[in-house]
Amino acid sequence: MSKIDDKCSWFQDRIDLYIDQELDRADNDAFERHVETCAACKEELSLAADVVSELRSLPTQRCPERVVDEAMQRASGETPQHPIRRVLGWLGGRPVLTMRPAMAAMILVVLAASVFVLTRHEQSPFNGNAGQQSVAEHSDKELELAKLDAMLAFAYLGRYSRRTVEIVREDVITNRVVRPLGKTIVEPMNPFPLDE
Amino acid sequence: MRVKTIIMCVLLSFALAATVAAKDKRQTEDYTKHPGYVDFDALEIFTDEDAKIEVYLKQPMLKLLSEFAKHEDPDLFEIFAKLKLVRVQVFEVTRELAEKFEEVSSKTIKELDKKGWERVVRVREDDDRVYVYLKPSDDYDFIEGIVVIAIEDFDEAVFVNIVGEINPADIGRLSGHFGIEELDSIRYEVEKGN
Repeated sequence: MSKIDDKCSWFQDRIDLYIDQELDRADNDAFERHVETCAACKEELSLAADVVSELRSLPTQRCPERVVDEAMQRASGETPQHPIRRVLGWLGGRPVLTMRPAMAAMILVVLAASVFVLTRHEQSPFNGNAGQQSVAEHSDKELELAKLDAMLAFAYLGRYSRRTVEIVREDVITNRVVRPLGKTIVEPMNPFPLDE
Repeated sequence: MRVKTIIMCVLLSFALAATVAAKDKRQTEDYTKHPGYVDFDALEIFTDEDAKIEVYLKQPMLKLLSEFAKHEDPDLFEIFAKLKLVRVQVFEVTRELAEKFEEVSSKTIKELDKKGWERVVRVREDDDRVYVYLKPSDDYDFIEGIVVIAIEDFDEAVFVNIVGEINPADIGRLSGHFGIEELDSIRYEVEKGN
């Protein structure tokens, strides 16, 4: 049996249990003995009993059918219908899985066309290196050749740059500056003219 | 039901078109819309038989090359990682075709002048024509594109377009690193499997 220090407080904590008849026999006897001797607690119990009685006398409300259905579906392991599924169901006039074969065939055709178009695009000339690639996808030989190809662009650039430098040195500096300058300086001092 | 089917078809068509457009955009916008890219119309006068060399390396492969070759010279091959496109096309030409190439390419050269490209080389000597153009970035911090258009001895036409972020100092390093004949020789050895 529970130790009772403050009988009224102990009583207040157990009103609901007493009304619901959930107290053990010893506590139930103690509870009833206290009620007989304490007017305030007796009034409190009477009030609580009235509230419970009033609540129980209220009419029961019918649960919405949708809630009941969902609850039943959950109980039987089925998931409730998702909003997207409902929209697709609307488009097909029925659930997606039972969509008409024509609709399914059409989707297949569209998907096949997508794959064809995208694959063809990737295989167009000069597109062999598109997309993400890794070293592992290519042999060392392929990469070495590609490296040489890339170097070739700069090699052509170097060739024409060097040729330009040669032209500037030979044609501009030597032929148009140094030689004429040499002639103007040397000829007046030399009785024998320079060979052209 | 008929209306619903039509709606479904339209939605799927839009989805397909959007997918294709997105894929197409991803593959082309980086190169053809880049300020350093040059659409060289003159190449249309050549046939496949005329082509001697065709190189078309895009960013993914260039990054891969940078990774692959970095052990040889990390600083040198790191340059490749910043490039978006390397295109080299060399054609064997008759004198007649070379003259036509020169005539058609002059249109592209004029456009380059108009679009802010800077001419760094122009050679018109005997049977040689060489044009080298650079496209500097707006703040002149780096070069966005390089174009080489050349005719050698009126029997070979060359078109080179390098697109990406190129440091001017790197051009000298890369262009001086190998000669064309040396590269041809190395390529021959690699293809043989040595």
